Amino acid sequence: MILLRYISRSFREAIVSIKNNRGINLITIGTFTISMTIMGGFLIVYVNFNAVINKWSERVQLVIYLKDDLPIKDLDEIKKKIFSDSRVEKYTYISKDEALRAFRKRLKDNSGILDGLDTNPLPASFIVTLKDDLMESDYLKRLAKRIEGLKGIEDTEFGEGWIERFETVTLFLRFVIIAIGGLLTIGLIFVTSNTIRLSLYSRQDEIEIMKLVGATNWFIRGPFMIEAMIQGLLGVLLSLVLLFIIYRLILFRFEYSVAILTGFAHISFIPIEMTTCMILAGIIIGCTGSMISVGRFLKCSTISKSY
Amino acid sequence: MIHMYHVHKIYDRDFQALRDITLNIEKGEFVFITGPSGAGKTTLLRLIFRGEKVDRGQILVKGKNLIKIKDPEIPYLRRHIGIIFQDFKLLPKQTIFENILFAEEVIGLNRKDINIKKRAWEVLSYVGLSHKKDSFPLRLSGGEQQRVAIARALVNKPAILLADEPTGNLDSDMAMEILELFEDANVKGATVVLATHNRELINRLRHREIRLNRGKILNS
Repeated sequence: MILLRYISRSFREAIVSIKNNRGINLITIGTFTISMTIMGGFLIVYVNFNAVINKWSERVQLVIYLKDDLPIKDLDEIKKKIFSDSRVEKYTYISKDEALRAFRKRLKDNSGILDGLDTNPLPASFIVTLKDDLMESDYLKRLAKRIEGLKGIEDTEFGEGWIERFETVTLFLRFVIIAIGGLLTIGLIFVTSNTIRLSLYSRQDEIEIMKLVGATNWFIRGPFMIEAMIQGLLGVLLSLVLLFIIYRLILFRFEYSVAILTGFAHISFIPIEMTTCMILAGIIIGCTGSMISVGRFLKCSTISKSY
Repeated sequence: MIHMYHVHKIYDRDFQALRDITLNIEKGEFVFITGPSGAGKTTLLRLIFRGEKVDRGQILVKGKNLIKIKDPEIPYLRRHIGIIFQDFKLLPKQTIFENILFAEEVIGLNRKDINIKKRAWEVLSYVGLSHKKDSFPLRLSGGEQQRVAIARALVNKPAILLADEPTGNLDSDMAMEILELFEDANVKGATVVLATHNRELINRLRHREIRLNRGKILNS
């Protein structure tokens, strides 16, 4: 009951304080909005880039070429080895004849050149598809190496080069987001902490009286924490609105071009889990900023002597 | 109620505000702390409500050792102490009734509770200002503002009343009126420690006097 009363009082006081220090509060909310919009922009790029890569990664297949006239026993051994790997989703066996038929089909009108062949030169193979989150070339490399060691394997092949390139780009994007996120967080904590400090100074006398009559530090802290949390929350919400408008007005129009480039027809907005995280981050950043300045203020402030 | 043993307080490394103070103030006592400006009266009071830390010695207030008290416990100590300053320390943007309610709300009471309002009304009546309950502090005379400060100090029924030159800004008649309020609170059971250099007040009421000079007790 007391806690509820404290919280409702803190809300009341925080709103009064925001009204009284409208200018500085608007600047802080604005800073939050701009910072979170930048962050959100990167998140949209990241989310969509990841989606494209995931889509492409579905096409990542490991092809295992087999030696001719392989005994059934060795073939079973290879099958067993492939299937025992937990990250393998499925595998398909392509016999020598099937391979030739497929090749013929691909050559279409030129398939006649294959007629002169005495024997089928194409090897039988296994096409192994991996589970969808596997853009790890290291893993593919390891798997290929393991299989190459088995009896009856001619060769293995997968799109090693481009997988590595995409991995590097994803890693770089992740790094950029973490770095920008970190810097923006520090900046925002600094800005909020300063706004709250101004708010504290404007209510210095009141705080002194609170301490005089026996208010706990949490009672004093409450309104300032709520004030900063409101700043963070409003800042993030505004940034999400802004991002959504940008998304609808600009990105939506480029969807066609993106589809041509990537073969992937949809640009998505920041997913709900990430928006929730952004909102929480705004609240936590505000809270941290206010804790820092109120903590320092309460440590330094004393009940002044009267004159 | 208040016990000090060989208490020292030093400011800025070398200014000795209090030197080797040993004193006992019993429950229900009324004590004047006197002495010229800079004698250490304010510092002594600030040590009692833990507005300052003791540098050397021991100090017990209402059974609490203030050397060992932790920061989060200080507000609870202050709830047993009503503090009155020369400059009143009232919230100018709140009415005097709200100023009293504020002191109750700060310790966790519900300001909307009818009993809390009743208590605020009672203390305002006690200091003779209930008819001005909706006035703002700056609209009142110095004497009236000090009476509001006393009402605020009394509202949570403190065991100890500390007053630092409470009549310093008031004329002689007003000072006597204020003094009577302290006397009355003392009769009702509060331990009163009043720092002043006003001889008229001290002579008017026959209470123990602790004389300070340059941070030392001259006599008690």
